[in-house]
Amino acid sequence: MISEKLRNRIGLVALALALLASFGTVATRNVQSLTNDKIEIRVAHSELHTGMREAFEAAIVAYEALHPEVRIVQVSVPSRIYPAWSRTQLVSGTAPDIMPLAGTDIEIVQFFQPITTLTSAPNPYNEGTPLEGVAWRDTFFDGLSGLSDSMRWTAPNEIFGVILQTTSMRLYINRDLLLEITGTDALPRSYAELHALAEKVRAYNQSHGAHLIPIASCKAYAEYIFDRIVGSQMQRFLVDYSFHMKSWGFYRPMYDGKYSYSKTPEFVSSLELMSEVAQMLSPGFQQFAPEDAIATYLQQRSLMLVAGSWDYAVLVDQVSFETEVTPLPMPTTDDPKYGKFTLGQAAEDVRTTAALGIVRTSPNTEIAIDFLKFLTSHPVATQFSEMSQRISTIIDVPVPDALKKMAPQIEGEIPGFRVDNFLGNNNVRNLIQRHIHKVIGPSPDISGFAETIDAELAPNIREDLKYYHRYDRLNTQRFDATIALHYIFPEEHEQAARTNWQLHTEAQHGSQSRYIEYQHYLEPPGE
Amino acid sequence: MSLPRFALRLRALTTRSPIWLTAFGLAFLGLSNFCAFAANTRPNDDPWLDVINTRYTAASHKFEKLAKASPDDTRLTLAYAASLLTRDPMTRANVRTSRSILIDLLSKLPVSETHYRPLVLLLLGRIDHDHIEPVQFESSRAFYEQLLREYPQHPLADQAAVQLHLLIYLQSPESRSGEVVSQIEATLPTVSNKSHRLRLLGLATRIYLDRLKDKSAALSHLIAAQEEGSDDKSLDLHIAYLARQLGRLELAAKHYRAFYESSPRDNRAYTARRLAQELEEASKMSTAVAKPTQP
Repeated sequence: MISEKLRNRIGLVALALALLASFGTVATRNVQSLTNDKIEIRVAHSELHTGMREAFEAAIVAYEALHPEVRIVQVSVPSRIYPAWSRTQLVSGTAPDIMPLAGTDIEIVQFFQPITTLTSAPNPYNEGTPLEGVAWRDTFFDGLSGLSDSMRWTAPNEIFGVILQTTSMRLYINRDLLLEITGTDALPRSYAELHALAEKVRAYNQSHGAHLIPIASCKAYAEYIFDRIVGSQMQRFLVDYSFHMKSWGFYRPMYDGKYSYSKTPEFVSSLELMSEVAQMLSPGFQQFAPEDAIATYLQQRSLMLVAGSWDYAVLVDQVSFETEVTPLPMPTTDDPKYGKFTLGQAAEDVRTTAALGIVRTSPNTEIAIDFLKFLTSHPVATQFSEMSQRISTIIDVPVPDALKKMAPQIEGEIPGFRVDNFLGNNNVRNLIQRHIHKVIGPSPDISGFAETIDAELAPNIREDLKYYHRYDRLNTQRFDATIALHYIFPEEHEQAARTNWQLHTEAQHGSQSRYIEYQHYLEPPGE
Repeated sequence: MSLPRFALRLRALTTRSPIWLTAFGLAFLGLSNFCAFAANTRPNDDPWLDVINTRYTAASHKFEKLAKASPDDTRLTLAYAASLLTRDPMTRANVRTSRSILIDLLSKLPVSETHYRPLVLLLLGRIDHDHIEPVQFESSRAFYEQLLREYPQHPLADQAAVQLHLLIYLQSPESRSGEVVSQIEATLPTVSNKSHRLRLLGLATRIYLDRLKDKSAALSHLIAAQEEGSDDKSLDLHIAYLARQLGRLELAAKHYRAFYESSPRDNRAYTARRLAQELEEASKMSTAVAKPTQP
């Protein structure tokens, strides 16, 4: 009886405390916003790995010391729930001032502020650094071209944010096994040497009754291997047939049959190389996750592994054997089989993370921009890189010692592209995925694959074009309302400064031009 | 009932039965959540705030109410008509309603009204161009041309000019491409907005390349776009590519070099630099062959 009373009282006390805490939270939040005369900027991100939050916090503390009138709040959101969270915040008008640039390009135009003109001026926080006087955009390793390229259709040449970090992929080699198998620790410097090394592993397996895999892999990491090695076969092709040296806009000649999988030599060579590369990877790699590939390597069931710079600590520091790290080699121009179509080692297609933009609804745009400049200035980026153990996107920022071998190689020829994933949307991709086992499976049938794809490609391209056409036409229609409402937006409204009907006309022209192009292709206008 | 007595009753009740305790607990939690919700929720009757936050359907319903309450307010009526074009679900009925409101507005607004009337004309052109199937070519064209004729200096006139040429291009068979491109070229000097001029130059370039197969004309339009001040750095690559195909090696080298110099960190810069060097050497050799040294 006593214990029951006690339990009830404990319950009551707990409830009362919970109630008080709820009231307290609500009350202090409102009181804070009423009494705090500091300008508050909220920065959201979903980079939760070790060191990132600490790096953000250090930058925030330094900025607040320089600007005592500003208070910056870091909002870190797990990446798994980030898409739903960000959409809710953006649509409800409660979004933080600075957020990761995520969503479709149309959404980015709608929700984020362009900062293009600002990026042409130097970053004032770079005064007294090697980057003093350099235009802000040119302080990024790629001049922010990656971000503007991704928006090329909707808002050509516009920049909507900045990027903080880069990642890279590397070939990890078990040095102990390498010595045992080859008698030398020489690393492969070309694709031919890599292939020869894989052959030595097979010979070693036969002579020693072993079951070593040349390169442990999984679906995600194999994509990079194919991108890098197989893409080499389309390097010359891009220079000869694509004015911007990108794999965009080939649907027309593919639809017309000008290029084909069975007759165009570069396509045939790409498929042969892809098949050859696939034989070096873990059998059934498409069913594996990165953890499986890493486990295979750590258990010394493979000689090599291709993995990300983010895997470095696990692969190098926490194992009993010695690991060498090197860039994944590509076919050289003197390769007897694959040299004909390649230009040689390509610049790495640098992958970026932590792209941040300023939300249109931010009431403190200028301060938000100023904080982004501060965050991407040379000294702060250097500190950020050291604390987060990631490679900065800002040029001349020293790469942390442990990551020296991970620094992306940006000097090199254009990367080329893969012929199995460069074209179309769901229909073409599904077609290729249904038959790709004939290329990467254990019993390749490359000519069978090529003939099947050539026979079925045109109708699938057509279906994909219909989808693109619908999508772009709908966007074009919606932009009419956006343009009109921004044009007549009341000047006296507190949000008037955030309207820009001209920018929306440019975005409309982008989607409109595309849908006209698709329409001409699907239904050419009659005489 | 006095407060102490209420407290005693409550105590007795919760001590007697845990179910009552749970019920009170839930009630307290509900109350606290309601307070939090109430503190965070401000009623939003402002459709313009919805516009900024891209909640166009919500904005449209609010504009509808406001426009019906103030039928003489041109801005609200126009906002309602415009928002119907993106209101979910997008229906033909919405488009028809929007069009009839705009036609009504057009008849009421005098030509001397220079803020809303040009937009009414533009929207009517856009509806007949892209919201009605099949395209109402003649009437859409007429609205655009009326806007250009009545308000030639208006900022929306440039948008009407681009839309007019996109409409003509959309509807023209390949055999009439020469006429389309001539009309674009005739319009260009009248367009004052840079991005709209660049869009028209881009359209002309595409027609020369895809339909007329005239690389020289396309090349000159690309150079014109660059002279207009386009900040598209890949224009240099496009110019260089066409110049290379036309055998204008020096020009090609110049633009590959310009690309390399303007975008040194782009992953195409190394290839552009190599191509520039190769083309410069080829150009020198061809000059040397063409002009043998005199004995």
